[in-house]
Amino acid sequence: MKEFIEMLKKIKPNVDFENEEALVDDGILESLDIISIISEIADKYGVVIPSDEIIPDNFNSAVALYELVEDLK
Amino acid sequence: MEKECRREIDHMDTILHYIRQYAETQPDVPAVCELRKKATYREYWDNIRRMASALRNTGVQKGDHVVLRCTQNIDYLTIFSALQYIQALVVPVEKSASPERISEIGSRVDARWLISDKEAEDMTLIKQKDLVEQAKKSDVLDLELPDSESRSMLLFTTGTTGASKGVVVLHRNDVGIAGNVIHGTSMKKGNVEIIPMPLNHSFGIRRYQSDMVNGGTVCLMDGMVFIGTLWKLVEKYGATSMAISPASLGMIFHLSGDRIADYADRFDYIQIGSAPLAENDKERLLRLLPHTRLYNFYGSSEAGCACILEFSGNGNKPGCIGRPTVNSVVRFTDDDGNVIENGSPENPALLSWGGSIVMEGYYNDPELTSEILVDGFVRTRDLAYLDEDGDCILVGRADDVINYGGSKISPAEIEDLALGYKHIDDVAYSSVADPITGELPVILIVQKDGYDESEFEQFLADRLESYKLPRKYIYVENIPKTFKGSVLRKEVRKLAEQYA
Repeated sequence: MKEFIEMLKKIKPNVDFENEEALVDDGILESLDIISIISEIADKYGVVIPSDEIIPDNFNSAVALYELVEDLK
Repeated sequence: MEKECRREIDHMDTILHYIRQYAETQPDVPAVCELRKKATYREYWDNIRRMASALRNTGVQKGDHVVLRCTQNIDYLTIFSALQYIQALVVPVEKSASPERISEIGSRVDARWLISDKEAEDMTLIKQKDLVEQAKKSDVLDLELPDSESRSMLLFTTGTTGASKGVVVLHRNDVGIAGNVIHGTSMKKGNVEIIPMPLNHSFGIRRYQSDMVNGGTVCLMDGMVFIGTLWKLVEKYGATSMAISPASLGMIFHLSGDRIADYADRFDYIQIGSAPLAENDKERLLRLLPHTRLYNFYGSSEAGCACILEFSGNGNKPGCIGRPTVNSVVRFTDDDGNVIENGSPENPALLSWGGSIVMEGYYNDPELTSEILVDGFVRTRDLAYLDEDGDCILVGRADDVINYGGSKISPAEIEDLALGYKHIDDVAYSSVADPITGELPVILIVQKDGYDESEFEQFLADRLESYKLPRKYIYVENIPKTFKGSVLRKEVRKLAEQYA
């Protein structure tokens, strides 16, 4: 999880990924950030997120996204 | 409608008139939807009137100018409509607008109020969430509806001269443009349209308005990156159409491959706008959706949806932007502004657009208005002619705006700002092709002594929204320019592609 959050921070610095739970709803992550995260997850973890799972709920927190990636591994 | 329409829809003065009518004649039909909630026409009309009451109780009055931050949801459209209902002038701004940008807009339009979640200078903040809660407890407010000649909204364009322009839109423009979309797409009764496009810009808000005039259903998405939402909306509401940008289509292909083909029998039409569509994406879409009508509209905030092309139909003429729409009038002029009958392939003429779609003018800028709006026609810098079939063929595009994943960026704005950094001699902002975002912004720099890339990066980061920051820095000996000093955009682009 720590490594996962570091990856997110490289894409979008200065965001409290440890605690934020409305990354999408509060507009903290924008469209181009989401694209970068999806690409980085594919590159780093070899996980391609299926299109049905690319929904705001899965990206609203680092925990939710991490759990999705773990499920897909 | 003003002219003969394939479907008969009574002409009314404003979009609000149609919503009110459908609240009576088809109260239980969904008007606006999100993934997790919806409002029928009756509910939507009641909510607009409750919101109007809440706005009045907060102090917003007829004639006030109100900056409204777009949140791309039903609440936003409700507030937007309620502001029109009480005849305040709504000034929508993009979701990601910085406080500085909002302050600048607020100052330019003499705005008294800001509806957003964060403050900005010189405007009284009304928090959107508080307003929504207050509206739920408010009574319905019954008012006389505005008339067709009164102001509907003030839209900001992406200016190619460095400053964006405030376009004053009348209610009759909204209805005329909606008619263009309905007629142009042969929109059917009961149409259900997915709109991921920003509702603070002309393309998105016009599609919503056309669906309201048609009595159909709008399904909202916040951009196309959350592609899973698209498929869920299609299934849940039985979507029959979409209004998307080429960047959105690129996102659909990038994130879900050819999955759109699963809905080949469902989509009646798809309209694509805000930028030109890449040839390979167009061919792929035609192959995947062989029975779906595919449209591209040409227009501007100043004269919306002026021309329509059904590119799933007849042939593939290079540069063709289609035919003038039902409520628009095309006119050609020479360089001196003299009206001429038509251009030709050898001598294309400057395009102008008239009809009920034409704006009132630019806010507080009579000089620019008189330059652009001549005899009721909006002048463009596009060169074109009508061919023997009556199709409009665009020969030269005057618009150099960069489209980065759907976000439009004016090179001139960035260049003017960048030249404020003392260690560069000259600069040009351009783009290179990108498979995901369409274009990737880059900057070409002629350095001076003392130049430091990190320092220049920080200089830009301190002054620009993040999406406008160049993704690559390219160092050149000089910037290609005309003898008058104008940047030669095509040459700059070639340089960028060569060195990026």
